Amino acid sequence: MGNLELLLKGFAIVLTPQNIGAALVGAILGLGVGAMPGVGSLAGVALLLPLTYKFNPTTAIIMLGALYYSNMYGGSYSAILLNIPGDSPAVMTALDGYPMAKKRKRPGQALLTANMSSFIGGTIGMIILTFAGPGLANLGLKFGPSEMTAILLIAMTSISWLVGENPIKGILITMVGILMASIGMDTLSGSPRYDFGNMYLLGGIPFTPFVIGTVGFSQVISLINERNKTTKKMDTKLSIRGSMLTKRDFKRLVPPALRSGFLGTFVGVLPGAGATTGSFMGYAIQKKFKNEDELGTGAVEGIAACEAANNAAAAGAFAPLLALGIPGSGTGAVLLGGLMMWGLNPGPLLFKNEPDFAWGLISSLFLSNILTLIVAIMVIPFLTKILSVPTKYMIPIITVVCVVGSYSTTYSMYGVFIMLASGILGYFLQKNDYPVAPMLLSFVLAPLLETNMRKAFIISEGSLSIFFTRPITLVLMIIFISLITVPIIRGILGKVKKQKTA
Amino acid sequence: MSKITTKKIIPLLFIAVGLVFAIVGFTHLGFWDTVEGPMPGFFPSIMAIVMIFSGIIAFIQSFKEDGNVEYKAPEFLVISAGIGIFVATFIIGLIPTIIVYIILWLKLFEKSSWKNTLIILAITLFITIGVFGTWLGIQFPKGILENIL
Repeated sequence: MGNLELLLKGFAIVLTPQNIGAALVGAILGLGVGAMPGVGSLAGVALLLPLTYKFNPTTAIIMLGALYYSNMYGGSYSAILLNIPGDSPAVMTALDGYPMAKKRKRPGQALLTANMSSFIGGTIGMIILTFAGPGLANLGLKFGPSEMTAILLIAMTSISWLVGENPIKGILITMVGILMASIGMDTLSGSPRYDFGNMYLLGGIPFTPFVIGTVGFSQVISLINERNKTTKKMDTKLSIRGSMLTKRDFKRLVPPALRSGFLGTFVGVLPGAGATTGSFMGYAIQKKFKNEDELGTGAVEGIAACEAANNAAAAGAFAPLLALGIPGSGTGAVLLGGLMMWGLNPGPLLFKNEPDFAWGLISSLFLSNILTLIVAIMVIPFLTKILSVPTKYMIPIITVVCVVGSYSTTYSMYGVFIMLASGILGYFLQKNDYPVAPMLLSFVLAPLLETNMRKAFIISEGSLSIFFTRPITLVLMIIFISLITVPIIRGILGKVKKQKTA
Repeated sequence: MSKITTKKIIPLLFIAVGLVFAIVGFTHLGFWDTVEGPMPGFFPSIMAIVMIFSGIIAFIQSFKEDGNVEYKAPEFLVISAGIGIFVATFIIGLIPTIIVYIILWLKLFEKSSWKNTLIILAITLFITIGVFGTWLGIQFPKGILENIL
């Protein structure tokens, strides 16, 4: 059966009233949370994760996908209207979005440009995912334990290297995530380890409270410093009719959105790069093209380039996530954890063993993209109110959601304890410039890495040669070693150059 | 002499954690068996050693890092509130704790009006009781006092 036929079959699964309703609720909540400055997509998806427990696995994952995807739309709202990016990918959107809203007095058009470009970029990403995902999974089927070990090492290393300014801190935090994941039961023998005689630790660190604490509660602690900042008042009233784009606007937004759509998808597939890098690259490439207005002064092209790129990257990130079980970002790791929580194991066998689920999820992304666009347009008149909720009122609400959400996933105060402990840990780490995304990624991927690494060593009877004699593994190991050594060599060369010039 | 700051304490803590994991991994869980191959301690012990080495480098780097991390009192108030909710839940139950927390936080700390406090309380209770309690069917923990009553 061809990919398109399978996609249509996926639509047949998705298009039930319950699934459409779940996607719609996911789109509304994701958009709302994504729009709130300071919350962001990572914390947003983590906080809303417990809500999916109501449904069967397919519906739950559809809602989770819609939550994740609509968060990307929401981040641009506060960037455009308040010059405060809702999340990091929206930083570039603010450069042209805010001037277009303020100086050019076209806030509605700036919002619709962002929405339309997100839709175009996301659609391109999903079309590429439809065709590339199964291909990538077929390639993954050829992978044995040694290849999987190498590819997981690449995924972990690249995110440690790319996130944050200090690679050593990235590696250190990756190891913290791995060791936390090793608490509980041994992945192969099932024997207890690192439980230190504690019956709670025997069950391991529960994923959802850990994530809610690390990115949700730690965010609340940081938000406290923002609470006295006066919320900027928007002097213009927004309406759907007054926000409509002209033909000229459309002509200006389509080419950069298409270009960034392809670029963003490619960036999204790379582990560690994600939507933020996609957005930065989309904007940087757009600078090389002719723009009607100069970028940074409220150009339609500027908003279109970064918004299309970040949504395409979000969609593109699903390819390695579903086909190889490797998330490209912290938010992807939360999503992967959510999938695993439902007993689904993303990886090469997913398309073969559970095609209904895999294609249902891909088609649900198309559905979410359309629903989010509709919701994003309908919500325009209410944005002024949504964005003017003072931070001081968000703090107790998010704190309660963290507590209740953690309790609800474990039915025990142990979940609340883990949430608090990981929240405090996340707060101290962020304060001291340690990125938390690699910790989440490694926490999710560690069991898979351990299983494959141990199997590889069992096959080779303890010899490291298994990682250097098989052709695919050899190529992957060269990439892995390059990823480790290149930044170090570059750093040493930089220092030598500095000393010579001094 | 350089001051002891969290920039130095954090890598030291991670080195200590790495040591514990490595020692338990090597001595209690086992590293390698000639017949069975890698034992339960194999993978975490390797990772713990990487953690110890990267922790040492991060500790050395911390001497070169500029500036101290600034901690503000309200940040610790949020942490205290979280711990307070945790402890109070065992005494009066989760729902009453949430009500007390919202009122105390907004009235005493934020000096909000009663109107705004009650609006936020209503939103929070809608999320807790409406969404989690009724829709998701979560049974919230009752504390010692709630159980007695």
